[in-house]
Amino acid sequence: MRIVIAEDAALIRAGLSEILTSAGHEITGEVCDATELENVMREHAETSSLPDLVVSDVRMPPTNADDGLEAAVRLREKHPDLPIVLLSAYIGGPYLRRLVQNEASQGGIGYLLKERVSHVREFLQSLDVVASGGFVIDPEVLHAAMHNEQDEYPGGRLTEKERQVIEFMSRGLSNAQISDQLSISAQGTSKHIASIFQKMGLHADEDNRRVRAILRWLRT
Amino acid sequence: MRDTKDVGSPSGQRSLERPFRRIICEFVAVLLWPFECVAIVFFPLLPFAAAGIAEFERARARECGESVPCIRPNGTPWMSWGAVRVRSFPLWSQDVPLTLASAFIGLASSTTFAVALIASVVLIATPVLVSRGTGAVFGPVEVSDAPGAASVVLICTVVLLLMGTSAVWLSLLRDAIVRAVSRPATSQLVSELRDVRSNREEIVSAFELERQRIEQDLHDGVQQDLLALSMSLGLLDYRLGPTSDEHELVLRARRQVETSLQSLREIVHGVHPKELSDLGLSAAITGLCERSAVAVEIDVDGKTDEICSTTASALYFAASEALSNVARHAGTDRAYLRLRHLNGRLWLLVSDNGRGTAHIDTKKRTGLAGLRHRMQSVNGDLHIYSDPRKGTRIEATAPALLSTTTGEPSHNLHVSDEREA
Repeated sequence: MRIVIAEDAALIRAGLSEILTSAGHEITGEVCDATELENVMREHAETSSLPDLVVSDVRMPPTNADDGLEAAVRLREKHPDLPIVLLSAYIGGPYLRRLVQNEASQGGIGYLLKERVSHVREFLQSLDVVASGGFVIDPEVLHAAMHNEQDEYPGGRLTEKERQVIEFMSRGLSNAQISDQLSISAQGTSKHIASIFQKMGLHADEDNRRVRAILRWLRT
Repeated sequence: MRDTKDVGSPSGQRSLERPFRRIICEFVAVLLWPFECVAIVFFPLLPFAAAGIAEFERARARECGESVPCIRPNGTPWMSWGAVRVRSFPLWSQDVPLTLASAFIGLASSTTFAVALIASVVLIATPVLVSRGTGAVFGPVEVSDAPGAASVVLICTVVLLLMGTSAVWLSLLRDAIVRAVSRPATSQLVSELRDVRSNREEIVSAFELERQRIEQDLHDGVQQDLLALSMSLGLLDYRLGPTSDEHELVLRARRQVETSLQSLREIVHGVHPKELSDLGLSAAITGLCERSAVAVEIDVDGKTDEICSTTASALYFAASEALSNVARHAGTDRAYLRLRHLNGRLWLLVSDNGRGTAHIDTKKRTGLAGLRHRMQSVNGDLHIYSDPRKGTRIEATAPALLSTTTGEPSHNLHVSDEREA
């Protein structure tokens, strides 16, 4: 994959770069603040050479507040299906919602706590999931973002099991992994997922139901 | 007489003992009156006596319900304090006039008590003498029968009441003089208080900046290093592969680093949470609620720019401690938090419907008591209302900006120009 990295701490940036190149990815851009990120991305867009994935810190100069997030939101507005993985030092539930709020948003969103990067195998797998349009949201961030208990959808309320299933889906787990986590059979998982789709009013003929379901869940 | 270190009882005391207390105080003052006279007559003695006599007058005023501060600090020996006081200006502006006034009033009081004494004697002696048959003689008047005795008793009672009343009035007059004399002292105290407050603000601000610096050093330095170390170990494990002999060892090493990172993050957070400086009070408190063990209904108004960082820090920790208390003691899993910024003042409310067992133990320096001190140090305050039927409300408030008397601009929340190396 061709990847752009945005991270202000030199040591972390070097570490990220090393991990990604070890896995055979190509680093097409390495920047250390949000303005630089947008510049580099604009150049890539002009030369029609958008990267396959952007990995960015949430907190970066110039204001060291949430510039990385702002840049990511703007990039997604311009390129709704650009896969972005955000790394954060703290949990920040509201950030996640900002990221998925854009109506045109497709999949391809990752939001991880920085320390997850050192679990290299899982991290690399998450990048693959995000790059192919899926979601990988850190469980701690999910819990912080999803404090409300309304899971009311047109078709009814999600059951406890269904809530767990969609949470695992947001974390980037495949159906097989979800079955493992919940100790149920593959058919059981499929049944729950079908029920989720039905309650959310997603018909069988709509494509990308998985992505839509996750987005809808994250947006409530 | 009660110990002089008690500050006077609240002036709203309406108990009946007050008139009696005044009379007793006047009586003691009368006992002291001869000494006052001696001190005035032998005027070299006057300055030395004045300090002590003025303190007595103040103590007397406190006994009668005036709130007059004690000039001599607690525990200072009389002699050494007296030696200092004699050389100070207030001795001449306050203590000596007070002594002179006290001596004048003492004259009136002595007369009052002398008359009262005579009346009492007559009141008691007349019926005794009449019943014995000897009769009593008052100048040209002779009293030897019951109606005569009764009228004498009546007259004496009336005189005693009049004397009692005049003793009370004299006592009130003394109060007025103490008040008049103490007024300059109040303005001096007020200016001292202002100095102390501004000193405290400077110290608190300096401390806050220091904490931020420590937090920043930890975050940008040690935490980065540990994170990079953790990443290196992770990469090492990846390269070695899951089937290598060293896999377990490397995983263990990485776990140790992660534990250190976690501890460090908690310490840093307790010193000064990063979100507070980066994102502001609203966002930091919202994050706090999300991480809390109880479900918190949040009502935060976003206008939290222009808050001094020490105040923001104090409010943040107030919210943190309040939520911890709910989780620990209230026995409920829901809480409500409201933060408002109105008219240059911040208002924080944390409430729950739990057991209502919260209270502030003012002797402790930690927990809620420590929080109140912290709020007071930024010119704010903290109150707890706790009721087993209604639950607990913790309210904290503080001005948004600390104003220093030196006229320097207050510290803003985003101190980015100070942090650029």
